[in-house]
Amino acid sequence: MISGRGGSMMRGGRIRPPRRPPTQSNGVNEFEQCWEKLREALRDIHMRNAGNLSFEQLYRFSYKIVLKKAGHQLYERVKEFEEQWFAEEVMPPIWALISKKLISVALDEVPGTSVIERRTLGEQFLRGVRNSWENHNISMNMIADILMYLDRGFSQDHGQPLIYIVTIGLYRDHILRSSLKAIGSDYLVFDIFNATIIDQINMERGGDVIDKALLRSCINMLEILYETDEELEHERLYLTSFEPVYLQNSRDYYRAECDRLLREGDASAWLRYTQGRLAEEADRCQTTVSVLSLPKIMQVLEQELITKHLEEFLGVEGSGIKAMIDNDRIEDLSILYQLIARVDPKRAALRQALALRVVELGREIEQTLKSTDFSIVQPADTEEAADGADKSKPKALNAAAQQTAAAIRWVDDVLILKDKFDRLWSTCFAEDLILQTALTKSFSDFVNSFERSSEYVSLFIDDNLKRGIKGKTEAEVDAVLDKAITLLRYIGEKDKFEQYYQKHLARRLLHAKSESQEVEQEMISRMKRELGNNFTQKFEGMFRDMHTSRETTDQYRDYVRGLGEISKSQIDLNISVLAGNNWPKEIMGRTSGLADGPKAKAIYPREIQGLQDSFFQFYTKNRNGRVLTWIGNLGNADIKCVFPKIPGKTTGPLSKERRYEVNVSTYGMIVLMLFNNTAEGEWLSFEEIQEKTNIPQPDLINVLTSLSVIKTYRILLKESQTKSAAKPGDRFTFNREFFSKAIKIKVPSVNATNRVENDEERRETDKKAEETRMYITDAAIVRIMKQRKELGHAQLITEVIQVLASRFKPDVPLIKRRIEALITREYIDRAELADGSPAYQYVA
Amino acid sequence: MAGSRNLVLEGIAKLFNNPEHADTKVYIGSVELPAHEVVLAIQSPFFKKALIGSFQESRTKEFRFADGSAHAHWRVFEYMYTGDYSEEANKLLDVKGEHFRFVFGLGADSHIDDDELIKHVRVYVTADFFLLDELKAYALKRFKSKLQKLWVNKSLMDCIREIYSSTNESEVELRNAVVKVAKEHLNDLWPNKAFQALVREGGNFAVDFVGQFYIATVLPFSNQTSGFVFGHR
Repeated sequence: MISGRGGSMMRGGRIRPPRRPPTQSNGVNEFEQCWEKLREALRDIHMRNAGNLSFEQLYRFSYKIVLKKAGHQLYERVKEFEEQWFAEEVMPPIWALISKKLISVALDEVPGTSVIERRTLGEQFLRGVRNSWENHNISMNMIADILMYLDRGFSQDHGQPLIYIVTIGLYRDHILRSSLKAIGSDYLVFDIFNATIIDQINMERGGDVIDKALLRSCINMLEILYETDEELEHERLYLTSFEPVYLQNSRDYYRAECDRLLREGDASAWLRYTQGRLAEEADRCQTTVSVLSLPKIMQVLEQELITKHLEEFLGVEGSGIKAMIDNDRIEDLSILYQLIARVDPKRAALRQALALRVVELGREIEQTLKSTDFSIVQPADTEEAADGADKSKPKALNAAAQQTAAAIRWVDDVLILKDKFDRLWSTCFAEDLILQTALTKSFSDFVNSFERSSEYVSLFIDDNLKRGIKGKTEAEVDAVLDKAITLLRYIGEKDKFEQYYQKHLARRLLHAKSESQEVEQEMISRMKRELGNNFTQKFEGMFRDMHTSRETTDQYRDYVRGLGEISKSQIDLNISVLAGNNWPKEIMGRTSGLADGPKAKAIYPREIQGLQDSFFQFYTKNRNGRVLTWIGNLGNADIKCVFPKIPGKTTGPLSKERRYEVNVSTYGMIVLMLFNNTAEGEWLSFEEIQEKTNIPQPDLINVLTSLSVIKTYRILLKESQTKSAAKPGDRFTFNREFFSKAIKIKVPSVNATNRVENDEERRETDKKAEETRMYITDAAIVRIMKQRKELGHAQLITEVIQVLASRFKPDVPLIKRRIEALITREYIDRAELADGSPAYQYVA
Repeated sequence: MAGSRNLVLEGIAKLFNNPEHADTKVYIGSVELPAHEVVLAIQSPFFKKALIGSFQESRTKEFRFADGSAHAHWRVFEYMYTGDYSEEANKLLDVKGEHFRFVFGLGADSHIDDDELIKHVRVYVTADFFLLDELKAYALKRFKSKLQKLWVNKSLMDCIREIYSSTNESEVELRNAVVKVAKEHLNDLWPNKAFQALVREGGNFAVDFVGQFYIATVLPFSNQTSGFVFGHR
């Protein structure tokens, strides 16, 4: 201890600053005194005997030494002391733990040692190392604390590693890195140490209980120690020495496990095993190994257990992806998704497997459709009305109804499939956007590969709007509309769908078959949202026509009342004025005078002609120059029919006169009214009727068939009396003996329900679609060229495809043909671009 | 948030030399200063290790300081609580006959406060012992501003001697400050015998002092040379 030399200095006295040479002897003594105290303290600290040492005093010794510029000496003395201490006190107990047996058990995998023996031996060794290390580490921390000023004032400034670093480094240099040559082995202590730890971990993987805390302490030592005293972050012994061995060992372990799982061939077991192991290894990083390894060990597992054999596991018969999808194995699929999502941001394997399965199942729907007999009511339908006893009997359906049933069935099946995959998507696949895109594409693919899809979807909507939505809540109706829109999205040939929808809508409107005006409108507005204004223009026009027609009808009634001459025979007229463009051509066209000339004009009875003239007069008063064409096959009429009492019958309905209100098509009315003028028992031949009415033959066949074939509506008798349709050569008479339980009878017109087209009609539709496409393509080309003036060939094709894609799938040959046609018609001209590639020019 | 922060700071400031909640005793000479483990430990690595480790102080919670300047110690603790220290001497330390040992020969009766210039040096040195870096910077700042006016004092030479004897070689800040002042006011200082005596003693101060002129003379010379070459052409 140095004592002060009194207060004289403060009063101006001179003092000498300490300098090395003059104060050397004094300094040395002081140094030796201080060091002696410190040395004793170090020994006490190692012996766990520091409780009575004053931190302040010890700290001050090193402080003084540093101020006296003897820091370097102190540093060296401490190092020397510690090295000696280490050699004498720390190393011998460790060497005592390392036996030949331990080496062979840890590194040579000697057969014949039991697991228990191996574990005990290993634990004993690790525990010894851990205890020794912890003692050493604690002592070195304390020593570093009292030498804090040395570290600050000397080590750091002189580029020397801190005392603590040097002294714990002894452990690395003199224990872990020592060779085992002395006991006849080529290994280092490090090798036994690592192998023993990993052996314990593998025991735990195999299901044994091990001392995790012990392993964690051992590994903690490796995290604290570095390759060199520079302590570079990536040179932790844990990272440089232990981890590579650990990862390689884990890789081998899981590779073997995965091979075993492959041999067992149960994908479901594999999923659960992998999921369990991932969680287990993550947990192990927290509790036993080091979190530093977490991403790396995860990668090992992902590679070995997921990526490498993914395809094989997906393909396993009975438990692979097919079985998972088909049997709705929600849990399996959820795990599968989680696993794949870990390894592949593109989810390629899952995406492809799903896409394939969707298309396969889609094909199956088609196959089932082909092989199903729709001539009897399908079980699915009878279930709905299970209480109705008569419905459970198979009921024969006619060909058209069969086809319609097939359409509904197809749509239902597709929707069921869609629902299934939607459910999987949201419950198992975390609403993954990539998978959604893939699923949508697959659905779109198989829907479009089925040639009747446009028609079937429109029929599905038709069926629902006619009867399907009856008694359903708003939410349920909403769901139906959603389904319809979902399907519509998949359809590529939107123009075809448009045609079918137009046709079906027309029938619904004109025959008042729509269940709800509101729902119809809602459907349209949804299509509008989905496909744009253009798409629904015609449909909206149709609704507008119907609306205006109702107004016109009312106005006409007022007009008639205003004329004052209401006779009893006045016919109540309900008129629908249809604007030609909005309505399907086949409805307007087949009977329209415009298309087929005057021969198609039916001859109406006089009463009706008067009515027509009267309306025409009224209508053209405000609308000069308009042409009205009467479409007989679309309208209908209520006729009061009187069937006379049949002589000789005293009981039963036939004994009285019977009055019925019969609702027939307009043509039906014309035909029936012919029989007003026939004598009892007089027959009219098909040809006669045709001549008198001028009804086009197909329509006439329909009308006569509907009135003469089915017993409930047999107002006319037909000869020959067969169940087949009326045909030229048949003859007809008024069925005086007709009776019916109902007063009001609605005679269904044979062709008025929407049903699947037959092949001929389809060809017709396709042809029309093809024609329309031609015009649309022409329009698109001209519009683009008008805007661009000059454009390269390839670019023009691309732009046209872009424009048309929302309506149908345009094919390039068609576009090329249209370009040629437009050149011939001198809308555009050939040109060349600067680089000589072909181009076109707009001809103004 | 800011409000509650202030409350904490004010609360801690109020605890200086206050037995309330005190759990640690600090003796500066014979004067007892009640202290608070948290306040000391969170600022000074010295106290942290002493109080947390397994040495005697971790049990006794008692520290006795008898080396260096009593007033500087007081100021260091004052700073740890309040973030500042006062120029005025603390009356509590006015105990006649109390003696503090100075590490390297300098010493003072504890009841006499340190000289106006030297007191900041001693706060700096004491802060260095306790490893309080912020306080070192703060004391240095105050020392430098004092030096601007007080370099004329006779105590400057003693101050320089004390700086060179009580700080480590790596602690260059104080040394630089005095060397700079000495150079600035060379014309006034040189005639002073006491200053010449200081330089005559040699040692690190003399070296640092001369070192100041090295840069100042070499640079103009090299400029001249290049000017000459240019002119010769």
